Amino acid sequence: MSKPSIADQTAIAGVGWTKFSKASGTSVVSLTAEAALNAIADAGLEVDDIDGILTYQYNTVDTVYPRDLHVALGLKACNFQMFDQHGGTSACSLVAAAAMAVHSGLCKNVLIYRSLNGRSARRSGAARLPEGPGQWMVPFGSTHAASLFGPYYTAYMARYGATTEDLAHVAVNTRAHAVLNTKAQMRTPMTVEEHQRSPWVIYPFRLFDCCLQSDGAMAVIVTSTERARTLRHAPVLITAFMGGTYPPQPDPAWEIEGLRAAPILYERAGLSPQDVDFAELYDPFTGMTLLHAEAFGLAPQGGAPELFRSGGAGLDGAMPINTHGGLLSETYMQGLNHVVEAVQQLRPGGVADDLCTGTHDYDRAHCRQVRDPHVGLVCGECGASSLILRSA
Amino acid sequence: MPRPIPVPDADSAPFWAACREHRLTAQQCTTCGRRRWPPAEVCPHCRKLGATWVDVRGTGTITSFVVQHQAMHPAFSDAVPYTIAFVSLDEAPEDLLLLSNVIDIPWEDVRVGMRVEVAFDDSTEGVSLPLFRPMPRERL
Repeated sequence: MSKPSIADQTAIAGVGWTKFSKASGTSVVSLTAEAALNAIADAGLEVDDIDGILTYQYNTVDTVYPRDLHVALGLKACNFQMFDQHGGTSACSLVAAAAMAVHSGLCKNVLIYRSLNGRSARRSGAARLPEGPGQWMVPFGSTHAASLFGPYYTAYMARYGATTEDLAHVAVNTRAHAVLNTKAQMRTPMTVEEHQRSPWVIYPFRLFDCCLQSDGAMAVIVTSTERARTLRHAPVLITAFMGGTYPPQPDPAWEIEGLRAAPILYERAGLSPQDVDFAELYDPFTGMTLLHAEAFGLAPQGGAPELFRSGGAGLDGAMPINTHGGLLSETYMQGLNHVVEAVQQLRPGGVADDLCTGTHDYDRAHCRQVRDPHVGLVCGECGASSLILRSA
Repeated sequence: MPRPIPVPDADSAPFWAACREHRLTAQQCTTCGRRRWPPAEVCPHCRKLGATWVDVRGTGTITSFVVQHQAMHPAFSDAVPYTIAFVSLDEAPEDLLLLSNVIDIPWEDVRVGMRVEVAFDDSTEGVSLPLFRPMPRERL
């Protein structure tokens, strides 16, 4: 398989967000419009330049539809919309869809958003009804995402002798990055001991293994690389993407979809794991960060705990992971925040929202910029969806 | 708050009816002969329609599990901590992977690889739930 013709032909030109909080005090449509306007301004586009709108959620209707943003912004045209229901896999999938919509010529500038009052209004992880797939879960008290993804880590512990203390190092590493992120919701440093003292939620996950629930919105804009070169920021190239599903009925070996999908992603990018400079890995629970790191070849099988324990996943480590603080400590924008962070890291000026006042100096008292990255990996739930982004 | 009762559909009604008789059953494809789970018209292995319902022994192995310490559903607030396990049934471990609860054992003692057997629970009106308990030698 050679590199497909779409590789590097589309780019992310704009990113925007609102404040993240436990209670926005604002409607979801207003949050959406605010994030969209911020992303449009960041790109240096006019509102009427947007001609495609994509969004997503999972189960609970917690967002607004693309048509609602169409109306709220008084857009002249929308040539393509998608409302995806695949939650943690959707952020990367929708970047892929936007890239294809732009590359086909159907759209010029596609806006992707994730918007919700996920803490104050419709909380994520609410119980499902005991019907359809729910009849095999809800009567047995399985109503939460942690009981779907926890077994992957329980099986991993049995296979490799890993522990729940290994999870502490993921939580601590991720929090340390959020401390350097002015938009992150959790900015108090965490210790391994504090993690170990936090109460069980659903074993093998303690409270500090679980992601946040958040109010807020985020948006990114995908356009052609050619057009992006005329805009405000140097383009961040979409080199390769995957947008698959993950089986709801897991296999007995508890292997995640990313093990199958990651090699295809790398082949389509013409790159290998050794070329990746940093990674933003979907982290609804700490254990999934470890599994994602291994699926994408960032650590050997069974070796991800050591990568975190040794500091290798820190900003100056061999493979910086979740440099924004992730779903665990930045905000629960269901993976679109991972895309936004990768874009920021790959821009010539670097991240705009750490504690640096001038240029980035890599002093970890205030700087969260990774040193001179060129290739960033983003992955969604179970590694079923993923992106390789590059600096222009 | 009463426990949520499974809502049978056209695919699953024979399974839940057999549970009422304390029989654990699974579909077996009339074309390729493999068992399949969850119940469905189309065989995910050979992609043909048609199946017969067959009894299984109800013995199997825990492939993984979690322990619910905080109730996320009000009907389970008096049940925590409880174990949610995935059990591979002996007749077809690759194909029959059931989510259920493990009972009669402290949660700290549940292990991946533990041998279990079905134990029907009739405590909720209107349904017999196939739960699992450690096989006798596991309880030693």
